[in-house]
Amino acid sequence: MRHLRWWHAGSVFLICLLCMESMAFASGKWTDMIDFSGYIQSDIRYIIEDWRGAKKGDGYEFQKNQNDVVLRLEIFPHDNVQAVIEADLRFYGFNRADSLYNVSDRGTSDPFNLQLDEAYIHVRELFWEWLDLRAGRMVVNWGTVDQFNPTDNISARDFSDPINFSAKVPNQMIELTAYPTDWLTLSLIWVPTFRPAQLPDSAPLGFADFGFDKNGCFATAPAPPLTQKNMDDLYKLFESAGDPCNLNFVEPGMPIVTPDFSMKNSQFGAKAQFLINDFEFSFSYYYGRFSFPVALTAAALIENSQVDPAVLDIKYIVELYYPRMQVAGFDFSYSAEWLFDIGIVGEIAVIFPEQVDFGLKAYWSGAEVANMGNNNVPSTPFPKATVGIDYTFTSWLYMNVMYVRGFFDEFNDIYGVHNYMVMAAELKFFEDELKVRTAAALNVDDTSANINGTVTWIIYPSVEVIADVLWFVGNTEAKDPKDYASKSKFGMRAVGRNVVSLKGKFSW
Amino acid sequence: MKRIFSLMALVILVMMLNSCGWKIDGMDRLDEVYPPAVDGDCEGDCGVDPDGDTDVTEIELEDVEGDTLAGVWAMKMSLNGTMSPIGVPWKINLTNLFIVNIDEDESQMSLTFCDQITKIDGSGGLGETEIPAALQTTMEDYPIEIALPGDQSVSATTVAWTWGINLEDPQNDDISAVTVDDERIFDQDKDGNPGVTMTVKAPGGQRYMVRRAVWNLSEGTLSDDKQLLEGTLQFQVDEIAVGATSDMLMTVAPITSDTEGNTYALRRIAGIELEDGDVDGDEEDETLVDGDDDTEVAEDAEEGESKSVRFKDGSAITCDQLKAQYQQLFTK
Repeated sequence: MRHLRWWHAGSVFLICLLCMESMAFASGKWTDMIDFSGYIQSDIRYIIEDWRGAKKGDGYEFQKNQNDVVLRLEIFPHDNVQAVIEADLRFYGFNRADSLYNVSDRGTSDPFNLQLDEAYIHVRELFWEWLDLRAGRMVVNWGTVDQFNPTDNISARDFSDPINFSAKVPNQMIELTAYPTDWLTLSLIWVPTFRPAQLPDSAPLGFADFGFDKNGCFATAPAPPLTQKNMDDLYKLFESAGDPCNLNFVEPGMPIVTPDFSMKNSQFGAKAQFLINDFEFSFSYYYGRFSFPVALTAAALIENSQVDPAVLDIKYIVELYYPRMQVAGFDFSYSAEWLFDIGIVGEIAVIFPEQVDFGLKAYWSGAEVANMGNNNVPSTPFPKATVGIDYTFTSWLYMNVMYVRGFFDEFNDIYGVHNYMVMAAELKFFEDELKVRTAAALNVDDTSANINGTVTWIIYPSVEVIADVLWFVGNTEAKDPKDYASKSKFGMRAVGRNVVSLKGKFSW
Repeated sequence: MKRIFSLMALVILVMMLNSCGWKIDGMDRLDEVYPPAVDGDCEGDCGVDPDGDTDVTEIELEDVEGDTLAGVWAMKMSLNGTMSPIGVPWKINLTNLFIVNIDEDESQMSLTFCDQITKIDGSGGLGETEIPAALQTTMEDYPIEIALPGDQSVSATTVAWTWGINLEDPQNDDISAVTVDDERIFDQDKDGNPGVTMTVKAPGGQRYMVRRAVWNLSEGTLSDDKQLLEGTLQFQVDEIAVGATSDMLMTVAPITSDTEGNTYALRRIAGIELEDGDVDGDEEDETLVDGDDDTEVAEDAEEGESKSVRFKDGSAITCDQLKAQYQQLFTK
């Protein structure tokens, strides 16, 4: 199947090249009609702790040995037409052949995939000179602040690589942009189907992180979004099952209630962007879904073990859901020339969420033995906001500081909407050949933090060596294991591992 | 430009109207994914058939007349309370069934245990128990003796009923700290395990236990037709697990008695002269108790005459018959 996808994508790419070739012959200036760029990157990543994994002691091993070949082709067959294709051929670098039967399979022993990040057509001056159209697979960015954009909901985030948290998930869409005056830009976007955010492979620990004592016996259950009394009842249920060492928690299930492909699950966005001197601002509206899942149900299926009657097998199944929402947004950016040229940016989004009522049931040999429910997401509108300043002190020092109300994945569920301070500083040396960047996000409410340091050395033009470190500060265990809201934002193991990374990159 | 703004405003308005009342309920979703069992879905052994439809030979009887209480009675004791094994209070109903013999001079009634039916609301079957045949059989050898005043009444009295343990003062001895090593415990059902063995339906397994029930019986009221004797009671049940086939069955949740609604009822089954074979086999004279109607006096019964039950197969009432038909017997 993977081979088929590869061949399919490869064929598309080849056809594009051939088309380009034929156009070139037609016009005789084919080199003016294309822009071919890309990069090759190797990323070796190592886990530098052993306490944040699914099991204590997992760690001190390679996390990535990844090679990417990213090819970007832009074709301009006409002054008003542009076609863009960007594909990433990714080799994971870890042998997955665990049997003599599949060592001969290159796809298993050297797994890879092809990702089509962009494939769209941009038509300028469609019918009128003030109207543009973009259609196809692409990514849209809204908002004015750096990364923490509460008004930016069209394209979901791609957090599959926590170091590269600016990545986004491409999706098929149609965008109409109108420029009725030089100070106003209007955008309408329709996204036929929903695509959620991609999450790191540690994400399941956010919903089904069972704790075990040093003897491997059950100690704590994952806290669902329930009241304290419900949680007390839930623990009594486990206690009633007898010796914690006789509770065998099998691999938890985490199905997702996926929206169907009907029209009502389409996403829609509208934006009016104004530019008045140095002040740029916009009003926006989004109709769609929150791209991060929230807990909808949990079921504990309890059965006597077939192997040992004294043991209970417990299967915990958490069902997740992408709630619907509407977002009314406002963002601005202003460069204050009269105040040392400081850049001031801000965004506020008022989110009108779908109400989500969480339900939990326990079934013992198929019979329902406990049920409890709680409102997880109220229908009350709530704000998320970011405001910040950035300043270039000298040619070699840049800083920005932001206050963030509501992290990417926060949706006013039982966990709530938290407050963050985000800071970044970038230093450049040797005529920008060496760059040192540090960034940190601090959860003001629980004092957990995420720290990222990057050193980039441009050895030759287009050749870079990049060293990264990503470190999470905070308690891996919740303050109160029965309280869903007491987990540490960056301390919990679901956010990922502490790693160092070494990358080599060649761009053209 | 106005037209463009108007168009955008209209689209947004339509979207907003479409979003009114957005809500998703996890409980509904669970019912969709794991449909709840409905009446009639019961698989396997689901306890006593509420309709009394079993393979056991039906008791066919007519009203039994008698001037005294002496004779054979069916007894149903209904005990209601709550238990909270997982923190959530569940309503529990215990139905004790006995065959009762009252001697000729009405000085004593002897209760022979037939069955105990447990129903727990809301537990989905968790914690429900079943009396194994061995326990039922052995309990026949340990009838409960209750003294009567001898004046055609059942006076208020306190009765202690123990399983698997010998107590000097059955009503008052503390058994809360009993362990399997306690010398007072004995293998009453002779199955090699301490105390008595109770079958727990869910989680499935066997619990070895001792038990004491103390009943404070009110004075009984005899119906005008002298067929039914009814009263109320308060009860206390102490159960201690002294072993089990799995650890999880060692937890015994205490039952808190309801202050009202606990009743006992005795239905006259046979007169004193009933003995094996002392049966009127004339089926034409039989009047069936159909459960839907008041019991009828047999046509051949003469006023003041003590009559025996006429069983179809000529045998005396058995526990199986009582279990199968107790609901009909106690339907007024």
